[in-house]
Amino acid sequence: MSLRRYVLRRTLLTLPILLGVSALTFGLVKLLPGTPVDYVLQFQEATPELRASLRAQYHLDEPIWRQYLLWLSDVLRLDFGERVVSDRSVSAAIAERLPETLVLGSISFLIALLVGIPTGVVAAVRRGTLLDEGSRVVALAGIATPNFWLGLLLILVFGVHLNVVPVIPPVAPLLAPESLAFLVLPAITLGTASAALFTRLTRSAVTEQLRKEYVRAARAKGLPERTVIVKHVLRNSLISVVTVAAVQVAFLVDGAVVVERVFSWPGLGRLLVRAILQRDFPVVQAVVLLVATAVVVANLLADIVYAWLDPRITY
Amino acid sequence: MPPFTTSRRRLLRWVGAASAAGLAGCAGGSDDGSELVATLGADVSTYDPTLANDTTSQKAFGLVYEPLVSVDFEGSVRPTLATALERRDDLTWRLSLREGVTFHDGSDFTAADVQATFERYEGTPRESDVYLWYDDSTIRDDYTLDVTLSEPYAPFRLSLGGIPIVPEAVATGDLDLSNGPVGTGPYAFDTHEPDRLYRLVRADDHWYEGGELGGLSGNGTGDGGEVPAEPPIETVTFRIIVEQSSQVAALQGGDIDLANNPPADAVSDLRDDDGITVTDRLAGGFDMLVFPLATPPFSNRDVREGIARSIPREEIIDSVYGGIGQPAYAPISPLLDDYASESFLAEMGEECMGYDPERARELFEAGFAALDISPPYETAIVTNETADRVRWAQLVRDELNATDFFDVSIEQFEWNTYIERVLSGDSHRSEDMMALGWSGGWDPDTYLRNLFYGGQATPSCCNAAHYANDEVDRLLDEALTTYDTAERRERYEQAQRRVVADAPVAFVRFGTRIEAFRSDAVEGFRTYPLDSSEFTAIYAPWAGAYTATGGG
Repeated sequence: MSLRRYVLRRTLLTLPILLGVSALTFGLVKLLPGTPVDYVLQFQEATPELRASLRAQYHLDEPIWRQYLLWLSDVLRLDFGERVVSDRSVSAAIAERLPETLVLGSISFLIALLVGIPTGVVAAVRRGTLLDEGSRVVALAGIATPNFWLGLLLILVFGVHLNVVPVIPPVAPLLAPESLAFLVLPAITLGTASAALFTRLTRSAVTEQLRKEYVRAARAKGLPERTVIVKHVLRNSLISVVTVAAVQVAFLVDGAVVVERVFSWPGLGRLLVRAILQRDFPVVQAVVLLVATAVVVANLLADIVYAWLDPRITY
Repeated sequence: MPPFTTSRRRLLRWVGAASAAGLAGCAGGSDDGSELVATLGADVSTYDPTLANDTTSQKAFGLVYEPLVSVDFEGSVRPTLATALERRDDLTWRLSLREGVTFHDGSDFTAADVQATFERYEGTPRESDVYLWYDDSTIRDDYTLDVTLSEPYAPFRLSLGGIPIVPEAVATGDLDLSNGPVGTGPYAFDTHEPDRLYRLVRADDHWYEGGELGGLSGNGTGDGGEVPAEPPIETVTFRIIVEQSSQVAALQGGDIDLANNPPADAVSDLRDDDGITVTDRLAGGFDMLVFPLATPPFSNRDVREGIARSIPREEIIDSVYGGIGQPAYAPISPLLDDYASESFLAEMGEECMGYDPERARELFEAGFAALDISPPYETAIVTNETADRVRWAQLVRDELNATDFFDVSIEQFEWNTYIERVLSGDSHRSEDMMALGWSGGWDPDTYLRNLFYGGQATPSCCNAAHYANDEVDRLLDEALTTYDTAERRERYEQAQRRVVADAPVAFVRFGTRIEAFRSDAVEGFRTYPLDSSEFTAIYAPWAGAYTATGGG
């Protein structure tokens, strides 16, 4: 099988996965107690007629399989419908927040890679030293720290006591310097766990590579140690990091749900949480589908890069 | 805090403000540039009053729309878009409207707008706001509207205060409120960046031109004399901050000027901060414990009174609410001068609701014996995840478990699950007690009808106990159709006596509203008792209230 056929086959395989995800999301959301109608009416008096007409408006009087097909046929036409809790369209609500989450996610991801990989390399090269042990403890703490707590701690220290950064996002365009400066704390909060994971992963991959014959050969050839590590060892170690990095994309969205709330960042995570609490089904379904698509695509890319990086892998 | 903080903060604020203005191109030319930065605890979901079921949206459009009349800080009805309300007979009211008022879209305000505003509530989630009383209306001329009620309705004038007037073009479909609220108020809508900020700017030609506004008939005079003809604050920016601890941090860090309802455990910290003023005020609303009346032992009145007498209200207020609040022994909030009094509340406490473990024990003994149930009875208190509510429920649990008659646990539910439980049609057959909060308004009916009227049993509304008492129903109906305050008061007292004696619920605490603001940045702000009108004091000539930004 050629690489091209492999790519094509893997891409087509994502379609049933996405369909499965959409059906599962739809079903799970419907299993939640409460309907949009309960949310809309809350503690108000309502006549049975009003209740019935609201139920009809949200297609709640249809059987669930029909509700799903109605929704799916709209989604295939990229129409995600109207929100339950407001008169805005779902697509508009997502479009407004997607860039925010992408920027926050990218910066955290960058921080995670830039901190995690070099630390892992250094730890592996200086294996057994105090530096190595120290990085392991920090990495363990990084993975174990709940980002909710870390975020609040950073806010208290840098936003309130030292008062060197604003606690809430500045009123400025997304890519303006002060917006990016503000994003440093949330990005650290969001990226810490991933950075720690990358450190651990890089360290073990590099350690493994360092034991290989080719490293001894390269050193015997008289190559400077720096070249050996960066050009040969790191390159070979990155294969496993790439795979995990793809999966980490999902965790970044996952973490954004909490970090966006703590830092009042207007992204998809906050939209999703609120939509779940308000039983705003169309939004929940659209966001979950979007995130699922992102994860599936990231995995697909990882598989392709993997195959491309290491031609020995059979497909 | 280190000593350099203040200057550092000022410097950063200045730099931040300058660069933000430069980059964003600055919205609108400002003459004095005064801005108040307040907070909303959730995003604004709608600009349309007929859809708004959340207080956040109501707060957000409160300065943009105006009703015909408004309720001032003491509960008196004041003229706003109406100058007089005249009762022609029991069913007909003549509304005289203010002339020379324009909406923010430039159209003139007339009787047709009022009629269209009322009628577009039909079939919407907020239908009952208008259609509880509205039957029909006739436009006599541009500034006179006759409204016919379906039956005499005592809270008519107060109800008008809850109906924001929108342009007729909204009803005909020519104006879409989903792009932003369009009203006649002192502030016009500027921008809304979802989940980030919501901004209002001073309206160009608000109708108020200074001086006395006068009162509505029979309502004394208005005190608008000292209010400037134009709101002193030019821009009101609401930052949307969901996380309460982030809200407090933003206030302490100087990023915002005003924060609403800080959590009880942050209040004492904020009070210690020299730069921050904390205000609290009794609000319209109370917390209560609802009994499932169809389930023994809660079907027994003695048992219910026993539980009511086991609620350590003073301790709850001290340890859960930091000493803020007032014990509740009856539903109507002391906020309503005409309908509640300290002496009446004390009497209700004495008679049935007050904390008295000795008496509770006797009542439990009698009740359990009558039902032939051998204690301890295993049950739970169902609550949502509101931290303060969970904490008072725990104190009640401890108190009841100390009696040997009960084995109580706490069951916390996420909001929607909780709502489904407490408002389901068989809530009265549940095995568990329900911890519930209720917010009432300026009319006494709002504290009683939805909770204690037979026809309001769940799921049609909120009588979760399924309390049914013909005498209470009759009294509430009579009181609702009686315009005379003294007669109404009498009926509400009787109804409350009946409810308290039957104890379908145990009242716990009257709520408070707490606000914290930066002392140097906010001048003249006052706390409005009802949460949905939180920002009234920013500019309310009809209530003699306005806020200015300080020098800082």
